[in-house]
This record gives sequence, C-alpha cells and structure tokens, in this order.
Amino acid sequence: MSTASGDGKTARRRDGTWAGDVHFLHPTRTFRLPPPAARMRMGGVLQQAIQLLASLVALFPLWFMVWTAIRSQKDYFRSPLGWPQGIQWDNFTRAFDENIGRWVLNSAIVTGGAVLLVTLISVPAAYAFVRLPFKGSAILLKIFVFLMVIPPIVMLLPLFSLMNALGRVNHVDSVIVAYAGLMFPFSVFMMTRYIETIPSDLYEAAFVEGASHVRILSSIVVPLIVPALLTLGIVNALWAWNELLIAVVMLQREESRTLQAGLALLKGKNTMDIPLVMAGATISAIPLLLLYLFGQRVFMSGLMAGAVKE
Amino acid sequence: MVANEQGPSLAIRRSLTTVSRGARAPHRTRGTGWQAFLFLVPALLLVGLIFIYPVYSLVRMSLFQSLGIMSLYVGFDNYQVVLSDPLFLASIRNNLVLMACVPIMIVVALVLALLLFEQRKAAPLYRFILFTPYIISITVSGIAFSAMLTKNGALNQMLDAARLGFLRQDWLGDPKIALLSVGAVIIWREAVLGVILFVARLLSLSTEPLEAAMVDGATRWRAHWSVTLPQMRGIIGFYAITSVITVAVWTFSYVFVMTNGGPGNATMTADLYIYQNAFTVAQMNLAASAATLVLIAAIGVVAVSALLPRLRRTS
Repeated sequence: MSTASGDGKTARRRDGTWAGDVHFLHPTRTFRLPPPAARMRMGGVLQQAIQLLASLVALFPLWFMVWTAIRSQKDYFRSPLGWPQGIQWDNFTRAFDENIGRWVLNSAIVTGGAVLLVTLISVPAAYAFVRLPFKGSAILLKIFVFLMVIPPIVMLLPLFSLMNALGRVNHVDSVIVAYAGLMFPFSVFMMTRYIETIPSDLYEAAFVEGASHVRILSSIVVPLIVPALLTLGIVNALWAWNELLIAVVMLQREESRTLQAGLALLKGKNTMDIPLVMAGATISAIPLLLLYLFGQRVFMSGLMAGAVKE
Repeated sequence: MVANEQGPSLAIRRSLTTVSRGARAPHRTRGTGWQAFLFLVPALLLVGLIFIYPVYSLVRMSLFQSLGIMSLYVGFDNYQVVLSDPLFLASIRNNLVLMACVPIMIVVALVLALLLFEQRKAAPLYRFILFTPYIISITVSGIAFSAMLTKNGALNQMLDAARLGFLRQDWLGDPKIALLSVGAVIIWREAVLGVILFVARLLSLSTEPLEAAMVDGATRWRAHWSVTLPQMRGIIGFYAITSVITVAVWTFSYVFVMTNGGPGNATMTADLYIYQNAFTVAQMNLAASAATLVLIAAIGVVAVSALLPRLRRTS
C-alpha cells in the first residue's frame, strides 16, 4: 500500500474520480479503474516483458502484412523479413485491377444495410419487451437470445436453397437479410437491457398527453439510447464487415463479392503472388484500423459491451 | 409504488397509479398485447426467415435424398452415411483436438487482463495494441499467417536468425503439426475476446476486498488468486462456453483461409466438412444431416453449461 501512496502524482479529482481513470460507455455502468492505492505497483520486469511480448505477437501479423504489401514478389521471396529493396506501390494498383474497389463498395453496402435493418427491427422489439409485456414475452425474449449460439453453418444450406429459388444468390440483399438475422439475437438482447434502464418517470408526461407508443419510441426512447445505438452499431458493423462464410456461399460472382469473400478467393487464385494478396489484405484492414485509431473510445466500449453478453 | 417492486416490466402500471384516470384510459382500452405484436412483427418475420424456417428445412433435408428433381424419404440413412464417413469422424476428432486451445486461451487471457488491470501509465496503449487482433478480420489475419507459416516464411526465417534453426517446420504443410498451427492462430485471435471480457469484469469489481487482503499482508498475486479470481468465476465460465462453441462449430474462416482442410485432411473441421459436402461435392442431403448433428452439439453444449451450476448447487 505504501508504495502507491508514495507517488504524489496521482490526484483525486473533485468528482471522486482519479486522474488517469478510464471511463467506458456501457449500457449500465461507467467503468472506473480502482483508486491508485489499490492498484499496486506491478513494476516487475517480468510483467513488463510479458506485456511487451504480447504486444509484439499481437501486432506482428499486421506489420508483416504491410511490410510485404510494399515490396516486389522477387524481393519477398529473397527474404520475407529483410529490408525492402525499394517500395513497390504497384501491388496496390494491381489489387484495384482485381476488382477490390468493387468489393469494398459491396462490403460497405452489406454492412450498412444489415446494421440499419437489424437496428430498425430490434429497437421496436426491445421496446415491446420492456414497455408492452404480454403473457410469454419473457420466454420469447429468452428464445431470441438463445438463438445467438446457433452457428451460421446450420442455417446456411436451407438459406442458400431458399435464396437460390428466389433468385437472390449473387445479390447483396440476400446477405443483408442473413446478416441482420444473425445479428438480431444480440441486438435485441442489448437493446432490451438498455431500454430497461430508462426511468419510467420519463414516460409519464407522454402518457398524460396521450402519445402513442410509436410516438414515445421515436421521440423519447430513441434520443435517450443514441450512445447505445452507436455501440451496438459498431459491434454489428465489425461482425458484418468481417464475416466470411455466408458471403462466400451467397456471393459467388466476382463482382458481387464482399471484401472478405473476394480476398479469400484472391488468395486461393494467387498462391505465389503474396505481395498482391497482402496489398489486398492491407486495403481491407485500413478502414477498420482507422476507425479503431480515431474512434478508440467508442470502439472500446463497443467491444466491452459486446463482450458482456452473458 | 408497490408495483415497482415487481420489476421494470410493470413500469407502465406504476405510471398508471400516479396519473389521473381520465388521461390513461385510452392506453388501457387499446390493449397492449395487440400493440406489442405490431412492434414484434418485423422481428418475428426475421427470426422465422433466418432461424426457424432454415432449421425446419435442414432437418427435413437431412431425412431425404434428392434424385434429380425428385426427393426420396430415406429416414436416417444420411446420418448413417455421415457417421460412418471417415472424413467426418476425422473432422470431429480435429475439432476435439482444437478444444485443447480453450484452457490455454483462458490462462493467456487471464494473465494479460490482470497485467492490463495492474498496468498504470501505459494501460491505454497496451489495451489498444492487444485488442487489434479482434478488429482485423479472420480472413486478413489468416492470409498473413498462412504466408508467415510457409516453409520459407517469416517464422522460419526468424528461427534461423535466433539460431533456433532446428525448430524449423513446414507449419501448415506438415500433416502432423498443421492442426496445431491452426490452433495457435485461433488462440492468437480468440484469446483477445477473453482479455476484453476479463478486463471489463475486472473494472467492474469492488476494490475493497482486494485492499483488505493486501492489508492482511497478502502479496498482490496472492491477493488476486484468492480474492479476484473467485469473483471472476462467472465470466470465466461464460468465456469457456463461448470458446468451446467457437472451436467446435465456428472454425470455418480459419481453416478455409489458411489450409482449406489440408494437407490431406489434416485440418478438416466439422463446418468445413459441411461446406465442402454442400457446395463442392453437391451432397446437400449429407451435408444437411452433418449440419443437424452440429446443431444438436451446439444445443448440447449450452444445455450442459446451463445445467452444470444447478447440479453443483444441489450436490
């Protein structure tokens, strides 16, 4: 205990938090690091070494990807880790020749469409579960949440047959609906938990004025849950942007593929041209990395909220 | 105010007791069940389309055999074929081997989460770095890893540079170790989910018990062991179940990108088996029965995990 109180830099702020505290947006609470006295010094060399090693292991594939994307094929095979002999931007132009621009657009459409659709469906449903409970609604919600554990491979074959019969294979709308469906269990669960935290006093005035439930949802609930909608949107967008299995099955024509499906097949096609594939992978990772870098707080809270889905 | 004790779901009734009767009447008479249904219609349609119909259709498919445009009812014959297919059994075996990743992931994630929790000045930086594997798609990292793990790839080059050349392997090309390499990549990414979960839980814990243990003279690791860990039991259990489901039925992206089941069938897993049967061999009915088995396995894992705490409590 005395070790931590010895350092005078950490000061308690007026609102009771400590300098250096980290706050996370979370549906139900603000996370706060324990006061410094409880956070004993872990100055040990071993601990620092483990963290440094873990960071290197976490970042290495990413670094390797960029390192490879900027060199020529010959240069890569000479020595994968060696210093590049001149930077070769050509790989990126060639990646765009392989339709990657189109795939980025498809991924954006699929991700945006699915996130929008699942939000429009799960928010009213969550509102109904909280404000309009009926006989069996608790069980229905449990069933919805349980669907989270069913792996997509189970639904994939019938879904493919169905979409094939409807002529929707190779069209992004089939994937948008499938993604929205797969994101729905978690979305309705998170939204229900969040809407439950809104104090009922806030509804009373609206009730007095005779506002309908649609009106209450759109003008009272939605403005209150904007942070949660943002968090949910990020969790869902991350999942949709990175999904592979459904995209590979449903989007078979080259120009209809999403980025992940396109990349996986590009890799299969160009087993020797590793710098080209790495350039494609880099292009695919950049939007998310930029978002992560600049929207770190929202991302962190999104990851943590996504994580606490017991 | 009494209604408040019955939980938030009855909040409407509470509002009715505080608002004058004339004002609330229209809401009551309209009937909430009917309105709730309207709010739930899109959700029910979506769940019906993406979950209910496919599961029904899958089970039906698994009991039939298509012959051209006709379908013949064959009972459990497809299951018999799948269960006696050495490739299916091999893929189940591979999924079971991959389960060995789960305890490793838990330990790695716990250690890293505790270190992040204890770290002070550089915590945001480390957290930022450690979470990146979860931001990057499995496809992208799988592509990077499959290049790094080739015979003349980056990993072997590093081993040579460190004078550990005798450890050189054809990491993804040797049937004996390809599955282990895939497992290592799964740990690399999925352990991050554990770190995220555990850090979130750690940050929500009260610090008082820990401080008390320290006052009593426990060292910090000892205090974490006996005070923090017991409080994390629930989240560790949740993470363990999630991870078991992941390595059992959710490995498609890893193996599809890195090995496509090879070399030979050394890294074939259940979901890749289903995918290949359905879409490369065009044996939809066989694939459907394998997928039904996977569904039963997933439900089984959840059922067991839901029952376990109850069993422990009663015994």
